[in-house]
Amino acid sequence: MTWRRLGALETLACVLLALWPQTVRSPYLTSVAITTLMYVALAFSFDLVVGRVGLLSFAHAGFFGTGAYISALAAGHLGWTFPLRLAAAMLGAVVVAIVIGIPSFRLSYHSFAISTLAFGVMAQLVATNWIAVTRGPLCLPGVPPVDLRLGTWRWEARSLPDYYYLALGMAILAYLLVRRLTQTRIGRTWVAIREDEHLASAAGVPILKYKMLAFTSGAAVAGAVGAYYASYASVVCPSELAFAYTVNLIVILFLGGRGTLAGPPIGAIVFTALPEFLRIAEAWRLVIYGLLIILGAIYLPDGIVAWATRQMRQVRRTA
Amino acid sequence: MEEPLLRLDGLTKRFGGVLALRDVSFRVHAGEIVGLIGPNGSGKTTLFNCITGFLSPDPPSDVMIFGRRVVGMSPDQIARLGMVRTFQEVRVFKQLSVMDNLLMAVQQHQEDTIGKRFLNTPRVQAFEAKGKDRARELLEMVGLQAHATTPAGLLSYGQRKLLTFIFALMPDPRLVLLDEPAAAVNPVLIDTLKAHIVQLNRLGTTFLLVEHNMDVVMDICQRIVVLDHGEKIAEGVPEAIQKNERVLDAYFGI
Repeated sequence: MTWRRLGALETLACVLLALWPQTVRSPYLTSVAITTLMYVALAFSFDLVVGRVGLLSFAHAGFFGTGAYISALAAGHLGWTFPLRLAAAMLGAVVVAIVIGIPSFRLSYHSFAISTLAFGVMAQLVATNWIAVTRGPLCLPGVPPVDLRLGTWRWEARSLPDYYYLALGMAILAYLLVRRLTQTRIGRTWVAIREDEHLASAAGVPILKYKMLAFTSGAAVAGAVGAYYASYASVVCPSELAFAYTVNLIVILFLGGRGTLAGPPIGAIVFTALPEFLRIAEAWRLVIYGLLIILGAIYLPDGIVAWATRQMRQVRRTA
Repeated sequence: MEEPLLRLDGLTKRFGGVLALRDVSFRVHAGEIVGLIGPNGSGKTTLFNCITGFLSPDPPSDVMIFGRRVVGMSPDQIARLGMVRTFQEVRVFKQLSVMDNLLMAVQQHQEDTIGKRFLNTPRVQAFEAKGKDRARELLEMVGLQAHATTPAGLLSYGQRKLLTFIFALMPDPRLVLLDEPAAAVNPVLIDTLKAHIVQLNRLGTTFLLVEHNMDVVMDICQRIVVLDHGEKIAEGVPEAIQKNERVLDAYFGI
């Protein structure tokens, strides 16, 4: 029963989202929606490590940036089409995740966070200073749009709605991937690792392998979003790897609800849409926003989803 | 002679300047219930951790399980050989249901891969169904069948203790290492646990248990190994251990 209801909710959400660009007919609101959808996909993949395995990582923006740069370079130097760039970006992000994951996962909770933070900072430093490859702060401009070729048939994303639908497809795929991973034995194993690593290994769980699975699947999705972003923005800059983006993702997850399927989209919508609505009070916008986040941290420590679930249970009990 | 299930030779473990275990050797044969006793701090849990891969013993220690050398193997590799341990402190996956806890206990002992798990193949589903049957059987055995869907964190202490016991039994292991199964358990429950251990032993499970409760050890163990200050000071049948001068000395002092 609950499953069927959830299915209906998913379908409804998809229909509403599919109609968005036609309904609002505003380039501005469509681009806000694209940003939100990118954050949704990133938050879903980020949650695999933060919410499911239960480790705080600061590497996610680094994976996104790795994907964006690989895609831009592959387009500029090799003239690769989008599907190839996408594959390269995902593969590159996975390789980077393996290289930093294997040593970092041997560390404790806090050391893991610091180690991934170091990677995030280094990634931005490399992008800024490796002028020969990345052009540094001059950025890599002229990334071609998303294109698909099949024989003589060719399609290119030209308009904002085109990019909107691509972002929507990406967010849905990320959702389906995460749902699949978390609702099988794999997800249960991650929860077990989060709850008690010693007990899990005594039960025969190869801890590092499962942590790496979460880390690399998350990185693959982030790399894919990076490849998309490179084409959408048509330029890739070192600022795309900024620490601030990882912090945004952390806020989204903690605000929405870690380790849940509804948390990432809710967090992303609140996080990206709210500041836009607050533009009514332009001067006070960021102040109000900051205040709301502080209030959220105080009153909704496990996120909106956990709070809403509690409220619903209470209503049902009193009814 | 038949290869022992567990063979320890010259087990030594040093923490900095402290010698936690010194040259401990003994065997556990198939079908036995062996007790490991000793005063607090005598190295019993350290010994458990060295056998199960949570600590690596110092050379030239040698640990053989089912005829395989396990020194240097990780805890999960050793567990998958078919030797399961419990912990002194009661550990459960608090946010998982009792049933999911038990399914976690067995899934790594079933042949499947991450890829198959992702696809949730019929084979994986069959394993899952088999695990559920086994879990229901064990829940019934200890009287927890009404709690299958309860999150393990909501169980009482005694119920959790029972859960950890059947958690260890889930994969039908050949050798079970129990770390203080009767600690902080009420007398009625102790008798139940004792009965279960004896019953399972008759059906072919071998046990090595660390225990402080002398009644439990003397009642059910066929052989006892005594540690004191990291050294084995005695080994023998319960009657002999009870009269052994060194053991009495270690426990009561003079």
